[in-house]
Amino acid sequence: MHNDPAVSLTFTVASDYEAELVARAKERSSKAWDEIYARHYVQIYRYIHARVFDPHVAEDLASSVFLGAVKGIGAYQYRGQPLLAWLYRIAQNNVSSYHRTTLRHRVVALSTITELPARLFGQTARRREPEGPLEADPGAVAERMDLREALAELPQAQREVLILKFFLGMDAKEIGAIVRKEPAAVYSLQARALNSLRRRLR
Amino acid sequence: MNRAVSKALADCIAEMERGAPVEECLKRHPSHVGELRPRLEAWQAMAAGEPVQPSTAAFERGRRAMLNGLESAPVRSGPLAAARLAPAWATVAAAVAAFLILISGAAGASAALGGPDPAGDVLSAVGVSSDSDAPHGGIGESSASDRGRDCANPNAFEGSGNSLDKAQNAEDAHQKQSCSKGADEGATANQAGEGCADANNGHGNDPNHDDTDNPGQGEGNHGATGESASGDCAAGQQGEDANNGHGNDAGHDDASNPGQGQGNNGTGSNAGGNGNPNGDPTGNANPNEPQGQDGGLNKN
Repeated sequence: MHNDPAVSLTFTVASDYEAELVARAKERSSKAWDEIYARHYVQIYRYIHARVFDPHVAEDLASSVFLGAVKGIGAYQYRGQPLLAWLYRIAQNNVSSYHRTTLRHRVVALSTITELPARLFGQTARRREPEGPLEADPGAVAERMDLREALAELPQAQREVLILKFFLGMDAKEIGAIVRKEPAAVYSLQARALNSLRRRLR
Repeated sequence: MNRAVSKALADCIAEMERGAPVEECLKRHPSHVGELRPRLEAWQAMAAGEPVQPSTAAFERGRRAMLNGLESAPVRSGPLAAARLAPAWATVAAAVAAFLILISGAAGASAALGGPDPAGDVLSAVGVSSDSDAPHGGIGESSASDRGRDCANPNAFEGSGNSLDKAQNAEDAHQKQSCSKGADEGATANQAGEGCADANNGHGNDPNHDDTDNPGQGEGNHGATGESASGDCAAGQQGEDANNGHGNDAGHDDASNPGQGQGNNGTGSNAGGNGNPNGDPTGNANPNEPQGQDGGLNKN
């Protein structure tokens, strides 16, 4: 996975640093926790936002992720996987609990529906000439699709690699470290996810 | 979308992640251009979107909540923390050991109180004390109690049955006082005293008391001898065969009650092995037979 010596060295240094950060966090160092929070809060927030599509809920759940991390750090053992992977799993659990305990996830606000395609397809898509169903004006796309539900209906693995790619901006190697897959498997999952999404958004 | 297109799409996604434009990727897969183009452009558009940003206020709120949680979270240090951090296998091993100790303790207590003997049952079940050709004692028998019961005559067995009531015997402090120096090891309540002619008279070893006072003892005599119906320890004292019902007197070969010694052996009351040394095969009184001791240990 890390055949390039430079990449391996970078990975090792980062891994060593995270190991030390985790050790300090286990000793309840507030500085260590501050650093963990500053490094990962935004990513966790974006992931949760992509799952719940509500900024306020995303804020609350993101906060609860770090509270859960503080409580669970004693049992956590750093084994070279990114610390973000552990936080991400806490976030997954919190989102699942949220979805289980509320019916709000079934209620889709119109603003959410219209906002998401604009965010997903961005300014590039808007400026481009229409070439097909997905390449049409994002506003028109928003009228006929519920992207949120489309994402929610994807198989979990496909949904996760799309969210990590487009909401957290990760490349395949980073995603692989989180979901414990090789980059080639991540690309394959993304291709299948894209195809599924396209069918649903038609 | 067939497998070839899926593979081409995955390849193109990888190339685009490395910075390649859509058109370059399409050139590599001319046969799938029609299927790839809309997907790749959608992909490109999604990648170009602006990510959401949390508010600064939310960021600060979350940070304060985390630090507050850090202050209020329980401190894990010292031996308890070490126990929590112990390897999982050590925790499991400790739990198993504690469980086994509890189980064996409960089994021993159960057997000692005259209840079921699960340990003995287990050993029998796994064949540690399986049947053998040796009918009376020895390694092959399933348990000392069973051997005693099998080999003793019915009277003796009755006596042994009475002796099972250890709680009753044990509570009889008077018996303990008067029959305190006996040869029996297995059953404290049946310890024979110097004042008792027949140290192994099953149960009622106090010569000064009737069965009404020591019902557990007297009943033992009743059952064991069939002749000491009065219930006293009189069998030995009155010159009768001191081994009546028990066959525990080494100096006597109790021809009339040949099997009774085993009855005592079986109950454990003669754990000291005071069997009939003459070895009447029907009485199984060989003092070297282990069953007497085993029986006593099983019940006590």
